[in-house]
Amino acid sequence: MHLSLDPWIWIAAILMIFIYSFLYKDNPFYKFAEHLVVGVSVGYGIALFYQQQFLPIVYTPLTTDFKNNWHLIVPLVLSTFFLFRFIPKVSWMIRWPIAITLGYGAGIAIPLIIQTSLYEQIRFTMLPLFGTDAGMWLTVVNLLIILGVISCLTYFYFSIKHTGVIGTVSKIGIVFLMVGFGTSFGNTVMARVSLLIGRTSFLMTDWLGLPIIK
Amino acid sequence: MSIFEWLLKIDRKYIFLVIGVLVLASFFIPFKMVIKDTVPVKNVYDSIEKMDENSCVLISFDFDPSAEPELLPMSKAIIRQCLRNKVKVVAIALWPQGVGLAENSLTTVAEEIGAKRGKDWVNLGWKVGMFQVVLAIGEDITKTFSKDNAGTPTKNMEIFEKVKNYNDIDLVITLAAGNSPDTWVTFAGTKYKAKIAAGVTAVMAADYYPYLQTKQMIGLVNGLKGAAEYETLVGKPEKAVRGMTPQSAIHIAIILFILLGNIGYFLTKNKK
Amino acid sequence: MKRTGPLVVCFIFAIIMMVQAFVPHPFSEDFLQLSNNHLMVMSTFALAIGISTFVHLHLTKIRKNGEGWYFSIVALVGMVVTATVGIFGKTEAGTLYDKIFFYIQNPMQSAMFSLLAFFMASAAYRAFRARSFEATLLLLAAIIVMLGRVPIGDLMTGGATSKITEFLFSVPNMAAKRAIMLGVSLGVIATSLKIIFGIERSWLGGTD
Repeated sequence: MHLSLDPWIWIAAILMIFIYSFLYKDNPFYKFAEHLVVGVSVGYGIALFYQQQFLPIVYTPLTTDFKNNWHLIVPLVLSTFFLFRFIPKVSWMIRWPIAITLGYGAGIAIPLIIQTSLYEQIRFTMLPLFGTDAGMWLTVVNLLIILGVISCLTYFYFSIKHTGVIGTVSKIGIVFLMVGFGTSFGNTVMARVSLLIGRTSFLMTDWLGLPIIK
Repeated sequence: MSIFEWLLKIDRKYIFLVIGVLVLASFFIPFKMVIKDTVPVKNVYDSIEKMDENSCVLISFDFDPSAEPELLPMSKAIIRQCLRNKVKVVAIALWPQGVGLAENSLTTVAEEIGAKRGKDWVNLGWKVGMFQVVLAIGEDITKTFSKDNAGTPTKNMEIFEKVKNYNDIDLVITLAAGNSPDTWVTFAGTKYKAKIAAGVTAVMAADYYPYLQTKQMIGLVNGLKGAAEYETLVGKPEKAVRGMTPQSAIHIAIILFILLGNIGYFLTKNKK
Repeated sequence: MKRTGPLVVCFIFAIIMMVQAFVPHPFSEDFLQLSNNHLMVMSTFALAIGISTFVHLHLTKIRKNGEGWYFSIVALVGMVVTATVGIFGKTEAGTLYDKIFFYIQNPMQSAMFSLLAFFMASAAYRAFRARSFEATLLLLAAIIVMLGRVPIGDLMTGGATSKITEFLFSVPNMAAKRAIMLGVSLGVIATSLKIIFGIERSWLGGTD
């Protein structure tokens, strides 16, 4: 056992123990750590914003090469409209930058989303059932994919009553959805456990220096 | 209270205790796990392996510390493979806290391999906006990121001598804890025909299989298991591989808890 | 003007950007990059709203001596110290800013999320019951994946669970997720069109 002598590792370990104390019950140590992490997180964002956003894309271009970057004044002025939120009389001015952001975002996203998430997804659902080189197994897989997509879409289609054929197909859809959610859940368990393992490993190796199996 | 009723009412503090003890104990169990690679992980590995020297991989750190235990080992394994094969690594972050994690990953591996900042790798830091940043790289990466995380101007960096935009980037890998793979596929893959791969937390991995089937993504590294597969493929097993023993132990424990709960449920239901 | 002006601007911008996508001319690409750059600049003061809300919330708590007001001091001090260190120093590896991130924020935030492992185990035991056919399917799929994603599963079943897991991921799961993706995309497109044409106006807020 080689206990760490690095004060930073000790700080990290103690703060983590504060967090884990929540497993017993909510307590002042947990509350302290919880508020500290939120504060540090906001502070981290502010500094990074200043260093990597404001300085290189606003301040430096305007102060070193104004002639070629004067146009940045326009979005900068529009950006100040966000601050009008704090002045009730002119708070409506905030709508202008939001309008531009929304219009720009929606306009640019629609054609690309149609291509990425509709066209390509539909195209790759139209799979060959016969005559494929991979034989019977690929036929079964392709059939399952086609059936799965169509039946799940039918399940989500609420404009027709789910009776008769539609009812049967939507029930098949539920089967696919449940298997889908089951795989997601199984993987979610894995993710959460992985986080615990990562932190425990830090406590045991980096802090306590225990001889764990490598 | 019968044993079946007791099975339904195990206090959660005992469950917590079992999980805690299992995690701690399994680190000391000398149990060698065989980690087999899966196709989506192998695809990412192979595509980097096939690259020529001086090719370029852009890795986007789109996660924060809440996903660090899963995605940091993954990032180190991928960076190690790239730098070892003399493939250049350009790191950016769409999430602010990704910057610090990228810095840690890159400096650790670069030191081990002897790769130089600005020549073999660079951490460009973070910019506000998700798809705006992805689109901006489509024009000129050094215009979008005029300085790197160390404050060095990027314009004259050796690494960018032949890298301007997606045309010169051989693979984009997004390490994500949110929906940034969608952003990369939509705005870099569809618009600029960039080759995309993703390394994601296990929570969201299942959602990205449609992109694998359409080949909009060339590969997917799924959670800590994916990271362990990658570490094994790269030939340097580290934290992810080490985590597979406790991971196995807890999965078995959770499955047993579920089974116990169900046995109790059915037996008391029949009794009623 | 207060409401119609922004609605018209939103419409015009959206149409311009949509048309731009179908014009493969250098001018069109330059316009995309210029407006993209402008949009990034426009976010400059948007951050101020978030920070002011955070500061206001905690200052109010301190001023009113609300329950646990002293923890608000911790949050504010944490913010001010980290921001100051980052603004006046550097952000690369080895700096104080980097150490604050890696030894204070990183361990705490990931430890906080790792607590979920305990609660998830407890919740799975309590709520995961094979009450119906659908619930049984979900349960079985989850158990197979839990076994298939760890090496011990393969050891116990001779490699079967990982193969079944890959099949579950890439066939039934993929089909279900694709259907959801199609539905979500249609929803996004419909909502975007409603915003563009001024049918959806909730983003305007207020009534004046």
